[in-house]
Amino acid sequence: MKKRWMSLLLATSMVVSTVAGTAVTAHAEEEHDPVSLTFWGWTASDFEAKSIQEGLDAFQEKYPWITVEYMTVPSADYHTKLKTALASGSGPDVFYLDATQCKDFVNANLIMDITDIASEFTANMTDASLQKVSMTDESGETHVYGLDICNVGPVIFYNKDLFEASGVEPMPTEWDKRWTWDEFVENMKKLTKTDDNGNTTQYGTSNWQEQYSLYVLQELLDLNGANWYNEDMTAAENVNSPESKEVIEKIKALRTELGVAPDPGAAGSDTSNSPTAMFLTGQVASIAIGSYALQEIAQSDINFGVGLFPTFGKDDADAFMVSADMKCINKDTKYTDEALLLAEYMSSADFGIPIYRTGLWMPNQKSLYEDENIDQWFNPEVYPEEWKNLIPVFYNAKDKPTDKLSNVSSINDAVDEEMQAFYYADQDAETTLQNIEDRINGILGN
Amino acid sequence: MKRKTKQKIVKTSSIIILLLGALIMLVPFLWMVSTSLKNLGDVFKYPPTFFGSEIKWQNYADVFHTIDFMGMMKNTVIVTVVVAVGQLLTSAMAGFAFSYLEFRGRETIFRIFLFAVMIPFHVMLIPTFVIMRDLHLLNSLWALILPCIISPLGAFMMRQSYMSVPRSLGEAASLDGCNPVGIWWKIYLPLSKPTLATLAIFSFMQTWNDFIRPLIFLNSNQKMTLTLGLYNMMGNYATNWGLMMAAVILSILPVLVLYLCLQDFFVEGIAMAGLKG
Amino acid sequence: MRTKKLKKDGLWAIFFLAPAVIGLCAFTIYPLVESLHISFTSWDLFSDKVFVGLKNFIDLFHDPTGLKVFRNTVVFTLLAVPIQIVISFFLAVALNQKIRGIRFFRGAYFLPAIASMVSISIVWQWLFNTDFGIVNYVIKMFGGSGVPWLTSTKYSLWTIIIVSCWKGMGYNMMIFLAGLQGVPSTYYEAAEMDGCTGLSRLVKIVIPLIKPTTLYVSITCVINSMQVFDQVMIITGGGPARSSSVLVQYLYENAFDYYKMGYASAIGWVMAIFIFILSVIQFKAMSNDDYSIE
Repeated sequence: MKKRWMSLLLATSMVVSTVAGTAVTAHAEEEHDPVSLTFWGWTASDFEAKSIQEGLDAFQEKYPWITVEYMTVPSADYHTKLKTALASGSGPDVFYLDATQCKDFVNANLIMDITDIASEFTANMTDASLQKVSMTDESGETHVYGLDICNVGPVIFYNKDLFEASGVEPMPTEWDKRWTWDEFVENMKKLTKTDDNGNTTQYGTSNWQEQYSLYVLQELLDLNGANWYNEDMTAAENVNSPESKEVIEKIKALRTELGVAPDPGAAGSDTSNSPTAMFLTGQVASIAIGSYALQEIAQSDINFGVGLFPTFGKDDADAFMVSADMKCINKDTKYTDEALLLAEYMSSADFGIPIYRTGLWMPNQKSLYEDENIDQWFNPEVYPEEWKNLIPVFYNAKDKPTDKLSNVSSINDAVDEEMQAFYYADQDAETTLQNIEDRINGILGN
Repeated sequence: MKRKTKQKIVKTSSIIILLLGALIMLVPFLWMVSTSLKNLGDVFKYPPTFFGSEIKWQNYADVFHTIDFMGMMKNTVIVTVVVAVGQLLTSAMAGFAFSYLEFRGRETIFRIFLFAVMIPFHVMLIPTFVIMRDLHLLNSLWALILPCIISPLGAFMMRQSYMSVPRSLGEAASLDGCNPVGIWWKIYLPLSKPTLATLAIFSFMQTWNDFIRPLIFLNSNQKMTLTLGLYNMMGNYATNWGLMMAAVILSILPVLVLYLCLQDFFVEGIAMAGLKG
Repeated sequence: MRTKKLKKDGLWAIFFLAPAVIGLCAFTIYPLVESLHISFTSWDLFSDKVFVGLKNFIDLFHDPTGLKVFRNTVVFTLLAVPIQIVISFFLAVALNQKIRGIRFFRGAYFLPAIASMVSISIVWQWLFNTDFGIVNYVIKMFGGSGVPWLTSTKYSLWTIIIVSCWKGMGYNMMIFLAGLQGVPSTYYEAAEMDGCTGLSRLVKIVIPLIKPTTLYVSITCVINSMQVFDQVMIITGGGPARSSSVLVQYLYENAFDYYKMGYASAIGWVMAIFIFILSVIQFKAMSNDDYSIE
């Protein structure tokens, strides 16, 4: 009995000393305590999730004392799940955030202010990107709340073969040479084909009725000089303007009067993330969409080109609007230094360039737009030749009005609901716009 | 003679109606199978054809690497099995107390259980969410299991079933020195097998097909159940109908096999629920 | 002796009831009371609850979206329940004969019942596709014109109703079938002696005799219909323009998208009370003096 006790004691002490020994040596080598971070991202596509996983693997190799637990959350519910997790103290250390949600998360005091600690990094970000990740407080001071790695802007992809077959010129890619809306419509008419029974077999264009939070509607409103919000984004005003009316009536006419665009039901629902199926199967000749779709389209056999949205002839619309995926840090993280390392790595050129080369994102670092660096990411196998003309457009892009809005989820839903009533249920344009203004003001508490 | 021809007409017309109805029930399933074997180009062909230009089995293989199908299946099975076992056990125990044991407040407690049957669970979603948040069980399968582990309806059904067991059986065993646990386990439980089977099937169908609870309580793809997984897949691959249909078929398959094996149990279980209620 | 037995059983009762009662208290009674409490407050899940009295309930009846959603849910229930009951009843009558292939028919009608509403809804979203769906193809084959099932405010709720009936029919048919088989054959024989056959036998004998079954089916159908959610979320997302949006969906959005927990709880309670009233009405309407459910 006594003997057994002794051996047990001996074994225990041996284990303890080995553990202590290794701990000491590890410390001597690394001089870091092991840190474990959690990282949340949404699932936009397999490809993106895979790129992120590879990026995280490379990061952990570079900083061996840091382990990162990566959790993907479905994009539809991402921000509500994230907000709940952060507010109840079980949130991730580092996370993706859509720039439009920034104001709400800042108001709820959930994101770390990184103005000072990340200044070196943010100095290299393009103007649009920097604006998107910054918030101005009551005293007029600007704070940075995240890092950004990508620009995604509104473009039109078109099927070159179908354009040629119908004798339509390639779409312009230079800002000054954009088609007018009427020219665009005329060309789309040429591209719309019907069979003997009157069934449409090929549509000219698609996806213009995209939801408010995405690319098309906000961009077209801006191009036509329609601004829905007051200076400090606390109220909606002038929503019911002739400019807004013109835009939404023109969008609707594409599907109804002109019949050059399909019912979105055929292309998936309005809210779907995959409106490209009909384009990829040659059913529609062009699609208005965020530039992210390049990655998917480039993988297909379609002989495609790219073009800019048509102009409404307003000179003050001098740039298009981009969206951003912010990397933010949890205000309550225990490991600020490591979290910043991770956020910076996941926003760095090292991590970004392989993804830029697939076409999913466009760069947002000033240095990557310098002539000698463009070849690092401009992959000619993916980007069509004329994309070169878009490079300055992306560089000079601006942020979206909704980026600085609070209660943005409710506002998006309300706008979409009213727009659907306009698109599908005979609610007239003026009522629609007036309802939108009233409802936004209701949501903003005015 | 006249009556016989009349009967024949009734019978033939009912068969025709039944056949037509069966067609309406089955065509969506057949179309689902057809679409699941088409490539994207054939899916969007008009007029549609039943067979595409190729039989694309690849859609099924693709399901497994576009989503973590097996992981979702595992999560769903875990939740379903634990909930079913929990519900059977707690319901059978409570049903026994309500039917065999005599104690003060029996009727009151039973009435509370009956009352609980009638409450729509949606009313309780928010407080349940808060409980799970405070227990740090959000995004854990426990958040799906715990709130469902008791079933007031199950307790009610078990009580009804036990009421038909003669008391004398239990009392005789009691005189032989058998305690209530023994009486329940050795006499009551074996006699209530059909009800247990019904309850198990109900519990299985409810949990396996549950959608709103996973939607609210789970966050990550790693914890997802099948219904939620399909819903999210819909968001990302909405118009890749071949892939979507393949995923739907794979998710229905286990239940279908179970149903075909236990068809009579299902039928009797539902009949019993209808008669008992 | 009697008191001793009571006491002894009392301890055993605690043992047998403890799991169920603890579960019931933690996950039914407490949440129920708490939910009533929340419905009288303004609360965003993160800050402190602010008592606002009946404001949430009053707001609900002044909220155009709330009213629309409430109306949709009631319309859905009033249409889907009778359609389902009538069809499944007649199917059960047709199947309650000696015909060949009964197992096949039973299996075919029951097939949708075993699949999840989520998977069924995904399939129907494809079938109802305006341009490429098989439903519109069949309509066009018979000379009709395609219906925008999913993208028209006129049809979207009907789409949900059709799918719900299609899925629910087989299950209810099974219950009716059990009810019909529970009618002793002597009743049929007696009816036949009186020259009562066919439709008149159905109306005079069968329908009154299976009243308890009908009551059960209609009550469960109403309860399920008032809580419709899965198919709406998947097939139309409540759109277009909320034309097919329903109560549970609005509850879900308010609670978990907009963080209006008080308002969402109020929606839940209004729904629960409405379900209760509908159940009582059906119960009163269908049960007569000599019959009581026990």
